[in-house]
Amino acid sequence: MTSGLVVALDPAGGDGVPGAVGAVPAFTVGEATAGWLSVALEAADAAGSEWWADWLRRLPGVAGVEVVFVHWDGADPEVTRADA
Amino acid sequence: MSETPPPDHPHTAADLLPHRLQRFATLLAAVAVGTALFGLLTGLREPPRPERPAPPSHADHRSVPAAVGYADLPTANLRPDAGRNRTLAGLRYDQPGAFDPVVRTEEMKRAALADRAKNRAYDGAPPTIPHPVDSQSTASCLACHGEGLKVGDRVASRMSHPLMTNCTQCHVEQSPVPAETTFVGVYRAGPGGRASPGAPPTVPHHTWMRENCASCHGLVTRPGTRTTHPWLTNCTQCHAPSAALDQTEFAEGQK
Amino acid sequence: MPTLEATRRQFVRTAALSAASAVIGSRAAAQPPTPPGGMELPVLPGVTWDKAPCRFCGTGCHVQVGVKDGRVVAVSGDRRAEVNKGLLCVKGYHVGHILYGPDRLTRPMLRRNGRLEPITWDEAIETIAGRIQAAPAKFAFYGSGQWTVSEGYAANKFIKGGLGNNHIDPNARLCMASAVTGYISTYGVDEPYNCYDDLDHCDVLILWGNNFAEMHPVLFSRFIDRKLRGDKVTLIDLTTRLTRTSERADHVFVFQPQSDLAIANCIAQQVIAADAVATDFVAKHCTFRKPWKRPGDPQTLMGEPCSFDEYKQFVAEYTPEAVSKTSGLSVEQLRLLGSLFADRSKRISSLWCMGMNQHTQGTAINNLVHAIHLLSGHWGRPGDGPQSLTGQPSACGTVREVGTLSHALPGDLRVDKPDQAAKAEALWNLPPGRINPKVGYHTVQMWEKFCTPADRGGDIDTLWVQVTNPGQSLPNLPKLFEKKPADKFLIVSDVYPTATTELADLVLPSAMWVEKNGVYGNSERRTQQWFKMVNPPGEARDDCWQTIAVARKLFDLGHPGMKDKDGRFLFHITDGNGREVPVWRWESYYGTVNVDEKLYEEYRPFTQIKHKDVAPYRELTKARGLRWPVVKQPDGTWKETRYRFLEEFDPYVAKGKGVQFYHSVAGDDKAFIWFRPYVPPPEVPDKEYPLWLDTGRVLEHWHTGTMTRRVPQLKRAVPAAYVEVSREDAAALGLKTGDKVRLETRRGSLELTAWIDGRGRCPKGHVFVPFFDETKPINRLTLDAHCPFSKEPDYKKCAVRLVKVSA
Repeated sequence: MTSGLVVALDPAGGDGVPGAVGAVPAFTVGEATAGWLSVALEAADAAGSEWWADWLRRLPGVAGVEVVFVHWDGADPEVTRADA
Repeated sequence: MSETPPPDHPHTAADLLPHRLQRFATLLAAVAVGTALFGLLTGLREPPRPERPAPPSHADHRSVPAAVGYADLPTANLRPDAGRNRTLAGLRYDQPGAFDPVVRTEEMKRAALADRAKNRAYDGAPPTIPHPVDSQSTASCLACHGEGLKVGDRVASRMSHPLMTNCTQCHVEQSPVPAETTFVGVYRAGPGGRASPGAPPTVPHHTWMRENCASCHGLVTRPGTRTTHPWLTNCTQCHAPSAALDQTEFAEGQK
Repeated sequence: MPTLEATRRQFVRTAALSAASAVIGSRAAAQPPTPPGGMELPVLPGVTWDKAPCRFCGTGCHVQVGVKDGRVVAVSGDRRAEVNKGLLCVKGYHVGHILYGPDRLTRPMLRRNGRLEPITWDEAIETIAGRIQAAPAKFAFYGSGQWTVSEGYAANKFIKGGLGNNHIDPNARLCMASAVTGYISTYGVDEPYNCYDDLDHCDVLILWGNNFAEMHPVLFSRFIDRKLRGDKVTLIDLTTRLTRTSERADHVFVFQPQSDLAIANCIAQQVIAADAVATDFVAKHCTFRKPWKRPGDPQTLMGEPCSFDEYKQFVAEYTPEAVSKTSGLSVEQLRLLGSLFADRSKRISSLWCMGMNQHTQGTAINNLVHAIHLLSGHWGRPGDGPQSLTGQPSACGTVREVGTLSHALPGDLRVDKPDQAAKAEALWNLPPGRINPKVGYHTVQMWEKFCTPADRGGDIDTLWVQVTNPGQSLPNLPKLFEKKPADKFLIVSDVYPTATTELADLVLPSAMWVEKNGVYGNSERRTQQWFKMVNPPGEARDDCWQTIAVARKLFDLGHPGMKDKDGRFLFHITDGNGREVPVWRWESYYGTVNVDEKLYEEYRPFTQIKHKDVAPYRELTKARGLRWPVVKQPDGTWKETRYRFLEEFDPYVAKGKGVQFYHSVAGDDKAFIWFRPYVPPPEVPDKEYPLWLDTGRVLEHWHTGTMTRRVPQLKRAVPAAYVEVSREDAAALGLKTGDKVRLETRRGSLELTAWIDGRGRCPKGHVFVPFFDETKPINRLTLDAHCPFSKEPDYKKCAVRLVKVSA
């Protein structure tokens, strides 16, 4: 499961975030503009994605994380039927 | 993306396109793969951030729809067509964003003016209707001309004047076989004068029945006459009209 | 070769990253990215660029001025200016033209046998000094909100510190005096606590009689363009006539002239009725005030204390139903306003300019708008508060801060308070008692006294006008200007022939704008500096030099007031080696010292008295203006203040106070919530004069048009004045657009061309005439009745009749 995330950086102290995130193999770090950082996340399933996103949220210098893209290939099929 | 791909990075089509186009290309590609699902048009939620202007939530129709957050996945409405818009007015994907860069060349300008001249007897004449008119109800005119609509390279201009309900009083269909005439109209009032480099040009034409500048200069119009700065909406703040052209020149001894 | 799977994964990852980047991109782009023309200044061969504030209104936009071969050749919006962020209005884009009208005044001229004849500067200065020396107490100075800070400061020091005469008043008396009395009687100290940042943060913007789109277009755009960025903002236009502002407003409430007083009280009544009083805020930071001991007594500026219960009773009669009758607004419209103020989740900004200030109850309506914001707690958050705007570029900087008013001294001191006058005497190194404790004549009085023969009590006989055009802008011109007796002496320093120079006995050619060094102060407490960039034409010279040269001539003639207590010249200016520079000689004026800087730095300590510390000159040279108080930080940098009285922003608020009105009237750190009753206007339409006459500006012209009417692009847009007539009144009078019509009031008459509807649209029973056109001086008709406290006349409402002249 691959996701695109927008990370909002803390105006004071977000400088270390791209390095810290880049060090984790699950993440690919994209561009950082005006206090925002784009990140791609690859994880086995939704639970894994959620775990990593949560990790990112707690990372010092991160003010917030938004999910803006989800690619479901190989992910848990249960979730995709949640539209009922 | 600002990153230079590593040498073994296979170039995707997206990499080779300019940033703006890349957004669309990427989205189209993702749809083509058939497995990507986007979330609803629910708007982008902004985390609480001090001292930074809040981003627009839904100002730009073409903002990438936000995916559902992981925590909301179990309850989300994820039908493939959940975000589909069914109203005519909602079909606005051809409208450029107010903050998109505008490219306007002399060539485009000439083309736009030539196109404009096609369905006007002269500058200031009401344009003729370049398409068949099946229904003459005001509502049917307004469906496209109320707000303006652009599909592909076809433009339905937004009304340049306040709503008058009897549209076909002034706007008539073009006959496929034009009558012969030796009348030659003046198609263009001329470019607006600039006081000095960087000064805004003055309005070179009258503004009677053309109060709505966006009709010809707004986002939904021919690219050649579009404003280069659509995010500024108070046009007459900088572009001065002409009392002489507007026939409001009340100079001494003049009517 | 990567495997197919690896390529596919790479592709999806790129797509994910692109989607995220696109979101960021659209957000970054949601800030207007670059002004038209990009971030860079136009590259023009041989052109050098420098910053200056725009010469026109009180917004205080910065322009970049392009100079080539000693002439201004281009103007560009200053990208680094916070106020305008690279944008300008059409006047600003053409501001460079104002230097180059073909009829610039280039030589001093004296009227002999009815004609103005060229004389030398020496003769001119001697003539003025001679007139003043003969009767110093009968001399008056009429100045301007377009004076630079140093020009106003020099004039003020010359007349109050030198001549011991307080007859100095500025045209700003006609413009924002009511805002001043409103601020002083509410907070104890003048000028807005807030700033233009409110336009970026408010949810609701209420315009009180202000055609914002035409009068402060750059600020209007700053607000209205937020809609495009997706901000949910509401614009409410409280107005007496439909304008370009109304076209963009979400709600347009057309009220009867003068009923703004009742509308404000009606909002207070509803806030109380809805139990939405900001109890905590009011208890901690406000007290209530009534304008008299008991209803019926004359109102006073500072009023009397009153309890909340009394206040509640006073406003109780202003129910929506009752006020609907006075104001012409519907009960629903009034309820909408009431419910807005009762809802503290929304941030409400109130803005006003001439509609509230040029008002015979100007102080009262200013008090009331502050009151409803304080009462409801819509005060203090960015975007949530009341703010007055000014019409002139340095009405705040030169008039309000330098105190070029008949009662004031620099730094908010008063001539009639001995302890305060003593402070000024100390700073000026003057002997004690030099400053006259008697308040001088305010504008209307000054001109009345000047136009009255000496044997009938007209005790002003020489009047010096700088940087303004009273011959067109005073109200009731037949009474206050045109009656000038032949033996009185009118001196006019200006750049073009004007309605005022028509009657002048001595005309002095002045340098203007970037032909001199200068400092201005805009509406949001921002002090702005610029350097001289080109030479003035012919013999034109700085107004400030003119004042100093006259002072020196008086010094030479032995006038004792021109010396400080150590016997030095009043304008003792020294170079780096401590040697006095003879700046009264023109050739030394732009020599080894920057006189503008010297005078500004001499003035600066005054501003610290009431915590309005303006920035050091050197800091101003680097900035696009700084908002006072500008306070030095431990690291040596200087910090401006966006919001006063709020601990978060204002370094002068005591720790832990949160909000502190540290110059409050009662000395208790609390602001006044005023009750002021509705008072009918002094002149209302009747059978004889059945219509309301309103006057004002249009976007393209500024004030009396002496500058903008000489710019082809602006003159082309609106070449001449007209009268806007409603369709209903036009039909009744048998008028059509283009017909000649005569406007008649009890004071005068004027022929104008009718424009049905027009640039704006008047409701039935109202007409509007712009005042920019010197060939059609509408102020021959307006009323000189004025606010009892601010002495500001009401140009916005008097009774008029229309007579059709011809078809």
